[in-house]
Amino acid sequence: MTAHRDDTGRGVGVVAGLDSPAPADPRQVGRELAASGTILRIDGLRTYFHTDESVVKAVDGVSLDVPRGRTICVVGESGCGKSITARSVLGLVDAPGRIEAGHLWWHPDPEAPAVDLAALDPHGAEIRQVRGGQIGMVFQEPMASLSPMYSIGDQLVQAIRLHRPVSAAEAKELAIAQLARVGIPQPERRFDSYSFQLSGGMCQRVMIAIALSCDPALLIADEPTTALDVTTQARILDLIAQLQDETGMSVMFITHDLGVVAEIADDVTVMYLGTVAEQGSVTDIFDRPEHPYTRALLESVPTLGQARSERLAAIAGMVPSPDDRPTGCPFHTRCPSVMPGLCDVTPPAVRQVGDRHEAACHLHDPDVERPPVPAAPAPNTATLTGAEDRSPAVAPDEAEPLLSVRGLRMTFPVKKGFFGRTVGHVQAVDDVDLDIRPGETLGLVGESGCGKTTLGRCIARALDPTAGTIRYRDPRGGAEVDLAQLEANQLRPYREHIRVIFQDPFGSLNPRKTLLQLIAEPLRHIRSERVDSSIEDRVAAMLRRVGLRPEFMRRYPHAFSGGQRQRINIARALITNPRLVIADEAVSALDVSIRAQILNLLSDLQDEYQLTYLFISHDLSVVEHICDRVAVMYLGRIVEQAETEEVFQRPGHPYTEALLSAVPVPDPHLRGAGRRIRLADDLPDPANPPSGCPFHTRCPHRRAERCADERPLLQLSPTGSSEHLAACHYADELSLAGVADPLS
Amino acid sequence: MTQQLPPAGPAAEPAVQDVAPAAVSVASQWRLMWWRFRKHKLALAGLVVTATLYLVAVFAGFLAPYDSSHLDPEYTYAPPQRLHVVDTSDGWDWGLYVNGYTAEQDPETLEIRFEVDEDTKVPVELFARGPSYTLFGLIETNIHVIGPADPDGPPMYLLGADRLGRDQLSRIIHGTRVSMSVGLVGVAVAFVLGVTLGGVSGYLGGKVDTVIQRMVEFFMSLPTLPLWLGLAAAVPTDWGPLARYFMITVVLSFVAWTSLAREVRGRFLSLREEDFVMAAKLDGVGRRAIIFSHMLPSFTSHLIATLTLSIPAMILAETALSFLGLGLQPPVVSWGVLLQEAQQIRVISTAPWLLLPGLAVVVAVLSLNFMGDGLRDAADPYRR
Repeated sequence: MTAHRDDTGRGVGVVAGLDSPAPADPRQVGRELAASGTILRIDGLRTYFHTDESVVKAVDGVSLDVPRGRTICVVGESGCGKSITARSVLGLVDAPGRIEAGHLWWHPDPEAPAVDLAALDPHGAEIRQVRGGQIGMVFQEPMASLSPMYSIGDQLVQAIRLHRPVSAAEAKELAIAQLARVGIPQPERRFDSYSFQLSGGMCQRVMIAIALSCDPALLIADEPTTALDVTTQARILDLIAQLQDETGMSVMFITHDLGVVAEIADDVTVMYLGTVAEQGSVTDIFDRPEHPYTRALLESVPTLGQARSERLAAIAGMVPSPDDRPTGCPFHTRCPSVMPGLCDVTPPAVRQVGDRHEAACHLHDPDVERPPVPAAPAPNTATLTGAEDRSPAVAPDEAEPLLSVRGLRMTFPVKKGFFGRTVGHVQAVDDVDLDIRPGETLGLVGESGCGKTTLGRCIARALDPTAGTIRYRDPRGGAEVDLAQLEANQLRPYREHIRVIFQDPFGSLNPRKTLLQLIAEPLRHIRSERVDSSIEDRVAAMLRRVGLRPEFMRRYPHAFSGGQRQRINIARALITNPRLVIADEAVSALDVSIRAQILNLLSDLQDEYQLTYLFISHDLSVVEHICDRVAVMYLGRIVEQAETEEVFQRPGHPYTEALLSAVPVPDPHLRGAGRRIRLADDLPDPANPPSGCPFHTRCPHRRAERCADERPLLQLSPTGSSEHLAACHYADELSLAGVADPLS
Repeated sequence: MTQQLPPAGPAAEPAVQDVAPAAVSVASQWRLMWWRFRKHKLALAGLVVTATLYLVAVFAGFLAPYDSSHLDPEYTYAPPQRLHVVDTSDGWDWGLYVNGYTAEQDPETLEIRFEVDEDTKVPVELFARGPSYTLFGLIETNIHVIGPADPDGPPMYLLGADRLGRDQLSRIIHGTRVSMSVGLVGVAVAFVLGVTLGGVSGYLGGKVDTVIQRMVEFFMSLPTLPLWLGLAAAVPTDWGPLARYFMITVVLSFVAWTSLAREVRGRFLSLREEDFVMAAKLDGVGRRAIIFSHMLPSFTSHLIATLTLSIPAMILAETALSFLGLGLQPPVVSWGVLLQEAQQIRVISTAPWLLLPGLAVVVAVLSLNFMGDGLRDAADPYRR
C-alpha cells in the first residue's frame, strides 16, 4: 500500500551527495575517499524487504561516512534500520530483503580504487574475502553467535585459515595469541573450551578475537554489549578501544545506549525509520543537537547524578512500523515542533548545520518560516500530576515497614545423574534482611545472577523460600502476617496486595487471551468475582489510566508493541489495587523513549494509588532516577543498602563503587573523568561461593587479612546517615568514589 | 470464535497516548490460522480431498451402485467398463450406457475371459432404483446416484468385479466408511490417553513423570507388528464384526498414544517455565485452571495438527492388519479387507483392478498428510 509513494521526491533531498550522476568511477571515488580519510562510504543505501503484502523499506536512503581509524556510532531506537544497514555492508541481508539502490564504497587501501560492495554478488568469492577478512563483525548475542559444537579454538582457527595461507599448527599459535590479545586468561587452556563453558563476556571476547583474527580494517559491532552486564560492558568497551589503538582499525558501533555512544564515539549518526536524522561529531550531537529526534532521545535518558524529582521527557508515541511509513518527514508523527502542511508532506533535505554536522529537518530550511514557538520538548505527560517532588507521603524513619524480610534464604538443589541425586546447593538468596517502607520505591540492583529476581519472586511468593520470614502488614489495617509460612489457600488474599510486573513484555501475556480476560483474571480468581459489566468498566477505566484505549479490551496481546504490552502488564498488576508492586526489570526490554514513558507512568501511578515499589533493575541510571532507597546485591547477599543519594554519591562498598564507575555516562565531556574500576568478568560459581567476603575474589581493595576468611556483616557505614548499611570490613577506612556531580 | 471489530472510536482521549492511530483489525487465532493455511496450496487440496472422502463415507449407500455383499457368480473377474455419456452408435445422441460383456472360456485353462461387447448396451441412469439401504441409518431408500436402469438386468462394473463378481466400485465406496473412521476412533482414544498421561507427566513431574515416561518407552520399544498380532489374536473369534472393529481400533490406539504423550509432556515442561504461567499463578489462578485455560489452549491448534497427521498412520495400520487377515474380517468391508483379494500374484496379473483399494489408501493418506502439514505450519503462532 505504501510501496508506491513518491519515491523520487524523497530521493532528492535525503540522499546527500547523489547530485553527482550515477555510475561513479571507482578510481575517482577512491581518490575522493582517500582525500577525506574515509574507509567506507555508504551512499544512498536502500534495502527493502519484499513481503506478500507490501514492501518494507527497512533502510531508505542512508548515507554516511566511516572515517579511517575512528569510531562511528549509529544510534536509534529498535526498528530504525541500524542493523540492516550494517548487514547490507557485509552482504548479509537475508531474503526477501535486497539492496535496491545505493553504493557501499569500500576503500581499505588509500592507493587502490574503491570497491562497491553493493555491486558484488552476495554469495561470491569477492565479498567473502571482504567479509571476515577486511571487515570483521561482532553480534549482540555472543552465546548464540558461537557454535556449541566446536571449541572456541577450532572456530578461531577456522576463521584464520579461511583468510590466511597458514598451516594448522601456525593457525593454532596465532589463535592462542589472539585469545591472549583479547584478554582471555590462560588462552592455551581456553583454546579447547566450548562456548557454553564460558560466560557471556568471555564469549564476546572470543567473538571479537574471531572478528579481529585477520586484522580487518573495519570492525562492525552490532549492539555487542547490550546483552552483557554493565561491568562486563565496560571491560568490552575498553577492549575495543585498546585494540583500536593498537591496530588503527575503524569501528562502526551500533547501539541504542547513548551512554555507550558518549563513552566511545568520535562521530555519531542518528537514524530514524531507515533514514539518517542527524550526523556529526560526538560533541556536536551531545552539545548542539539540531534534529528534534536527537534532542528528544537525549532528554529521555535518565542520567546518573540527575535530580530525581525531574520527569523524563518522553517522546510521544512509538516508532511506526517500517511498512507503514508516514509521508513527509518520518519523524513528524512524534515531533514536538512539527509544522503542519510541511513536515507531513515533504521529506526534509539533509542540510549542513555546522562543520561536518548535518541534520534532516525542515527547521533548518532557510526558506521555511520557523513556527513562532521554538522547538520546546513537549512534556506530553507532565500535565497529569505536575512535577511536584515525589517524596514519600510518610516520613520514612518513623513509619513501620510495609514488608520486612529477615534471614531469607532460597536454595536450589543441583541434581545430577540418572536418579537425580542432589550433589550440591545454589544459594540464590543467602540470608537477606530487607525492609520496604510504605510509599517508597526501593531499588534492587546487581549483576545478572546475583539473585535479585529470585528475591523478588520469594517476596511475591511465586517461589517458596527455604528459610526466613517475610513479615507483611497491610497499611490499611490488618494484622501482621508472615508470608513465608502461608499455604497456597491462605496466601490468596495477599496476592492482591503484592503484584508483579514482569520483564518480558512478550512472554508474560498469554497470547491466547484477550486484554479483558488477562486484566480481569486477578479479579476473577483472587476475589472470585463474576465477569459482568462492572468488571468490564473497571478494566476499561484501568486501560484508560495506563494510556490504552478501552476499545482494545477484546484484542489479543499480539496486536500490541512492547511498550503497550508493558502498559497491559501494569494494568493487570494494578487492577487489584495493590500495596506493593514488584517491578522485575520492568523497563529493561524497552527502547529509551518508551522506557521514559513507562517510568513516568509508574511514578504517576505511585502518587495516585499510594503504591510501594520494589524496583529490580540492572540499570543504575534508571534506579537512581526512580528509587528512594537502593539495595545492592551480590551473590545472593545484600552488600549495601542506603538512600539513593547516599549510595550514588558516597558508596560504602567496593562493589557498588565498581558498578557505578562502569555505568557509561551520556556526556562525552565526562569521558574518562571518573576513576575507572574494572571488575574481572566472571561471577564466582554460586554453587561454590568464595569463603569470607563473597566479593573478595574481584575486589580491587582486597586486603590480605580478614577478607578471604571472615564474612562481613551488614553494618552501619560511617560515611553518611544512620540509614547507610554496608557489608565490608574496611568500609570506614576506604574512601570510595561515587558518581561525579555534574553540577560541581 | 470470530472477533468483533471494535468501533473506530472518535478521537482518543487526551490522556491516551502510545496508541497507533491506524486501526488494527482484530482476527481470532482460528481465523489467522485459516489465513495462513489458505496460502498452502497443497494443504488446501488435501483438505478438499479429505472432505470429499468423508462425504463419500457418509453417503456410501447412495453413491455406490450396489451394496457391499451383492454378488453375481456369472461375472467373476469382469474387467472395468467404460461409461459412455454420448451414444454414437446410431448417430449422435445423449445416452448413458455401458457396453455388455461377452464371456469366453479358454478351452485349455478353463479360464473365463470377458470381452467388452460393443454391440450390447446396458442402459445406465442417474438416481436409479437399486438395492435398498438406509441413509444415515434412518431413511430407508433404494435410490442410488448411478446404476443400471434395470436392476434385474446385466450388471454394471465401472471398476471391474472380484472373484465372486462383486462390484469393486461399490465395495471401495463402502470400505471408505470403515477405513476412514477407524482412524478417527483410534485417534480419539489415543488422543485422550496421550493428552491425559502426557499432561500429568509434564505438569506434575517428579516420580509420576518418571513412571509414565518409562511406560512410554516400554510401549515404544515393542515391535508393533507382533504386538498387533498378539492383541488381535486375543480378540475372540466369535465376536461380531462391530465388536471386533471396536477392539481393533483400541488395539491400534494403544500403540499410538505414546508419541503424543511425549509431545504433550514436552510442551507442558516448556510452558511451565513461561512468564505468563507464573503471572497466572500470581493472579490466583488454581492449578487446574492453569492447565486447562492457560496451558492447553496455547497448543490446541498444534494438537489438532498432530491429530490430523496421526490419522493416516492409523489408516495404514488398519490396512496392514486387515491385509494380513488379522484385523477386520469379511463381511465387513474395508480397504485392507479388499486388498486381501489381491494377495496372489496370479490374481493381480489377470485382474489388476483389484489393487484399486490400495490407490484409495494412497490418496487418503497423502491428502491427510498434506493437510496435517499445512495445519502444523499454520498453527505455529510465532511464524509470520
